[in-house]
Amino acid sequence: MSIFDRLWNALRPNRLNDEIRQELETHFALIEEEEEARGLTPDDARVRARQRFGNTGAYRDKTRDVDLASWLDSFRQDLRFASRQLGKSPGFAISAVLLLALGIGLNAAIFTIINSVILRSLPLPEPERLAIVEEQQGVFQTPPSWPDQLDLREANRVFQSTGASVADQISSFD
Amino acid sequence: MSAKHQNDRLQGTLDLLILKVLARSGPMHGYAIAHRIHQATDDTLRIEEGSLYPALHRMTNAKWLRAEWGTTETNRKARLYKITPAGRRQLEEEEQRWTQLTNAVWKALRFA
Repeated sequence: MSIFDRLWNALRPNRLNDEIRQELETHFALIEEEEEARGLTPDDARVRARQRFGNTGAYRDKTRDVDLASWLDSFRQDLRFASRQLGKSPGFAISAVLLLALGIGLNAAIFTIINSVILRSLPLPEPERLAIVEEQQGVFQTPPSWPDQLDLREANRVFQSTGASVADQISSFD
Repeated sequence: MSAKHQNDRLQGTLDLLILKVLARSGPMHGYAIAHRIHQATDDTLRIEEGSLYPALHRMTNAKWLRAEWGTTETNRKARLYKITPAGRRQLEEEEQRWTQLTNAVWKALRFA
C-alpha cells in the first residue's frame, strides 16, 4: 500500500471499512456456495459458513486495526524523518516556514478583500433587483457626486428607491 | 489450532502456511488460500477462516504480499494476494526455523 493509499484510508475510514467488509463478505458467500453445492439448504449453509468463518464483525475489526496500526506507524516514521531532515538544515526550515506564512497571510488578506467586495452581496432584501448607477465623463467612469445623487433621487421614476454606498458600507437608503 | 492465535508460534505458523501456499501458485483470494490449507493438511488444522484476514493484511503491510482487487470465477469482487520477493525470503527463514524446532522436538521425543 502506498503512502497515498494509507492517507486516503485514514481520511476516509469508511472506505477502508467498506473494502474489508467486501473482502470478508466474498469469502463468506463462497463458503455458502460451496456448502450449498454439497446439498445443504441455504439456511444450513449459512449456519455452516458462520461456524467455518468465525465472527465476521470481530475479524473485520481486527483486520481494520491491523491496517490502521501500520498506517499510524509509517506516519510516525515519516514525521520523525521530516523533522530530522528539517533539524539538519535549520536555515532552510526557517525560510520555508516564513515563506509559507507569508503566502498564507497574503492569500487570507486578498480573500478578505474579494469576499467583502465581490462575493458577499449587499445586506439587502432581494439583492438581485439592485442596479448600479454610474456616471460616464469622457473615458472616466465615476460614481455620481452627492448633489447628483440627490437629484437622481428626486427625479427617479425607474427605481423603487435609490441609495449610495462606499465599498460595502451603505451610507444612505430610502 | 482452532482456538485463538495469541501465541506467537501459532501466528507464525499461519504466516508460514499462507506464504507457502502463495509461493506455489499465482494470485489467490482468501477463500482459495483457506481451501488450499485445509486440503494440504487433510483438515487437521482447523483454522477459523476469518482469522486469515488480519494475517493477510498484516503481511501485506509488511510488504511480504501484494494485494489487488479482482474477481472470482463466479464474478464476485475479491482481493487477490501475491507473494513478493521479500515474502519469499521470509518464507525461507520461517521454514528453516520451523524445521529446526520440529527436529528438536522430534529428537527429544525419541531420545529423552
